[in-house]
Amino acid sequence: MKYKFTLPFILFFLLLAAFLVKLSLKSGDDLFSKTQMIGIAVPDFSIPALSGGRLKSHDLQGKTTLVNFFASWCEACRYEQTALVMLAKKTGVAIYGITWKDDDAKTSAWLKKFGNPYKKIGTDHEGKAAITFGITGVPETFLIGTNGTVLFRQPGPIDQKAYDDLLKMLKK
Amino acid sequence: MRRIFLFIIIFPTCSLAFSVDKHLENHEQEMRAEKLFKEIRCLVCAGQSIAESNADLAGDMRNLIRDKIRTGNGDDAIKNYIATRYGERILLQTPWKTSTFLLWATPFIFLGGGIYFIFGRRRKP
Amino acid sequence: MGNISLLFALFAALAGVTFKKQKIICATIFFFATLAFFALIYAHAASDFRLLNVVENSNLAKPFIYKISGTWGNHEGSLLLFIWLLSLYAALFALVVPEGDIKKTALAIECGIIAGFLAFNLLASNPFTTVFPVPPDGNGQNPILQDIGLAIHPPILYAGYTGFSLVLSLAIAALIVGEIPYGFAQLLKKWLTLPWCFLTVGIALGSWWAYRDLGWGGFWFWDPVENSSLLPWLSATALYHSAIVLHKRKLFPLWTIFLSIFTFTLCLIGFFLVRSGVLTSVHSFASDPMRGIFILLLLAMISGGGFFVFALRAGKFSSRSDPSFTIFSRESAIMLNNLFLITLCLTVFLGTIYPIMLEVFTGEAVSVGAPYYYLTFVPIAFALVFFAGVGPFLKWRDGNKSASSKLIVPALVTALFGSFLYFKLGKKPDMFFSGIIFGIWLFSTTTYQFYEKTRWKNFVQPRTFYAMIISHFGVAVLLIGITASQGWKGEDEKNMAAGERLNFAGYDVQLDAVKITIGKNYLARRGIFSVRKNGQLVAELAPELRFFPVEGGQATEPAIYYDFLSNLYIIIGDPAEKKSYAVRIYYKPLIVLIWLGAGMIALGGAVSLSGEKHEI
Repeated sequence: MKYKFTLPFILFFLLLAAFLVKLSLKSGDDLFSKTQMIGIAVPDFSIPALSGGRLKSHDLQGKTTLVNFFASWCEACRYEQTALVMLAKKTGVAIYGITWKDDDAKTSAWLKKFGNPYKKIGTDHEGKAAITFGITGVPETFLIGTNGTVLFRQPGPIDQKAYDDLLKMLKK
Repeated sequence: MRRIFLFIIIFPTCSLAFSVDKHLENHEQEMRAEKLFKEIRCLVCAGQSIAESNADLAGDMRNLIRDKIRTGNGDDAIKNYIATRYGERILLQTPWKTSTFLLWATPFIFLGGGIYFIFGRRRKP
Repeated sequence: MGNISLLFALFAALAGVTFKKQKIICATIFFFATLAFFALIYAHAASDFRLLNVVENSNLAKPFIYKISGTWGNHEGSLLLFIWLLSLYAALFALVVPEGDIKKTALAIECGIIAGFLAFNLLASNPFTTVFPVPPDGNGQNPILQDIGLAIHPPILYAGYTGFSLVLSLAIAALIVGEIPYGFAQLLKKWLTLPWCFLTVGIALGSWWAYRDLGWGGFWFWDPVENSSLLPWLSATALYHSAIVLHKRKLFPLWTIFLSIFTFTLCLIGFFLVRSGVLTSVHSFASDPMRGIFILLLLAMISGGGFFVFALRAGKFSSRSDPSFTIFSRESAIMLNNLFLITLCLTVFLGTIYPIMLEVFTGEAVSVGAPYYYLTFVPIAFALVFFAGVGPFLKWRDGNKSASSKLIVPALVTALFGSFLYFKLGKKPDMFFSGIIFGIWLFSTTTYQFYEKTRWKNFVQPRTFYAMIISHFGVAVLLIGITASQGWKGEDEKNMAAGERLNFAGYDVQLDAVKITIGKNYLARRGIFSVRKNGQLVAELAPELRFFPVEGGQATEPAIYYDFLSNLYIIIGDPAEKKSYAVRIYYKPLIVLIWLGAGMIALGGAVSLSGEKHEI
């Protein structure tokens, strides 16, 4: 009869424990999922390219590529340009850029200033390609394998850890 | 770094200026679209569906959905398409599956248990 | 400013858990808390950028009133506000309540709680940390937060939360002392009602602010932070009714005590959810895991301690296993009320933490949003409202079935109204229809209760009776307001250029001009609209889209026209082709009833507080 009074106590501490677990596990905001889209085939898209013509999903086939979404208005994108340039140099991986909601003239100026590691750049003015890749903001980078599936995804700028991971994966 | 990123995305929250969407010409399709919008969460603004959100991303998604309706996709296919890209969390309708059973059932189990406790176990006065 | 921190430390020590000289101690704590709190306010008002807190949340151009309210628009400052309110309650309690064992123990516990929060503030979230070199200007505050509704929303809300700590202390004190003396229930009820009123108003204010300021006409988003404020409210309402039974019939002491502990626990859990960073929300402060750990610690000690004492000592209060009341009695009705309220509480709680928990344990991510609550919360809430109409008819101990005859008139009124809605206005019988029906039901039953007691002539009745009538009316009004504005709202959007008209919901809306105006710390695009009804000019509305250069954000300021109880709501957006601008317009019927209803609910609480004697 008396034991029912310990019930609230037990339940309460179970709850606290769960909170503690969640707190320590905190892998980042739940709005940006690193694992979503891994293993999925590159979605179809076709957008105008900065230098003329179009950038299509077709262009990404047959080799390992990096797709990097960025914009000249995005502060954080500047920080990862060096990382991208270095990746291109070290591994020779083909990097395709896609600007999101950007003004083409501003993009060109920005590239001159911060570096241009891109093989080709698509301009996504309407956000269609972005949604197709599941983007909620820039920058965001995808590593795509030779068979066309997404192997790795970095929401946010490429930090040291992401850089190391990418390097490792590309060297293979 | 992360904070700057967050700043870009989360900060201009959902009081962003909006523009008027281009509605579909077929009225029935537009109704379908609007119904669908209510079921997709706006990821940039907590608690809103893309029907209400002023955010850019929400607007883009609305246009995308309209496109897909126009080109003949069914509601489920469209939801699937979006969920594959953004995760199931983007669908506002909480799904019915084994892992959410507890969520749906608990209130009613609790209610039932409570009624039993209060009224079922009494001795007649 | 450093000495303020010292003062802090001084009374942290003072917040000792002693049984001696409690009045002086509480007064001292309050004194120093006031000093510290007002020092922070002063620093913000004077734009003293030596303090990191001021730099991060303010800037020179911010309007004066928002500089002051900015003091509590951030984590550290709001924590200080919380502490200040805690000390205020404690001091008041110490001074006003007659001496006794319960009082001594309760105050000791309360001081302990205050000490805990002080430690948190001093060690992990100090608002007085300085920054060097002193920057010339600050980072400014999120423009959305610069609104009058948001200036007073936190203090009022916190006035609610902090009061419940006292309720918890009282309950634990009763457990420790080992008995529930005569007058305990009254005491509990009194000190519970004040925070409850504040919480009601606080939640309503928050909702009203969101409606006015966020620009899309919504007033409740089932956002985790909103839910965090709703949870203690539900629990406290249940507690209030349970305390009534305790007072009148001395029944369910343990349940009442449990709810007392539970309510503040919910406040603390809400605290945790919002500030620890486990949830991302438009409301949440920037997060820091250390904070989360500290709050968990506080939770463990305060609530864990409370439940521990409960487990230990509850056995001494074995309640009579044969509650001497029949099924159709008021006791039963109140138990049902409690059951429904706590189920609602559980539902909202589950809905709020389920996504996080699921992710932790299975890695899956699901959404719990309005659709979930429509299917769970709403039906149970309807049941609650139904019985709220029935309960007051039932007598204590043995409500004979004669009560059912009293339900006939209200039932008829409701049916009549329902038919009117269905046949004359052509409304479909859906969830919104039901909402109105239940609202009318509660309204008519409560009216009948009023009639039954007063017979329209005997208006001298106990305060608690009026309190009930007013609050229950408030619930009915609130329900009707929510249902009407959600179920029968209108919405339209169009690109309009100057001179264009739009016909909407019986109004003739014309965009007269679009101008650029300059505010204190913003630039705005303002649309000037004239609204006509039946040819008469009824309103000039000027919604704005504001740009804040320092903070770098934008904010939509809607313009609202109050047409009696309904609202016409306009916002202006981006420019479109041919010099036109995006315009969105909403019609929200009877929406004012929402805040009116909430106000009535709180008013009922205030009325019950004003009663000196303790009658029915």
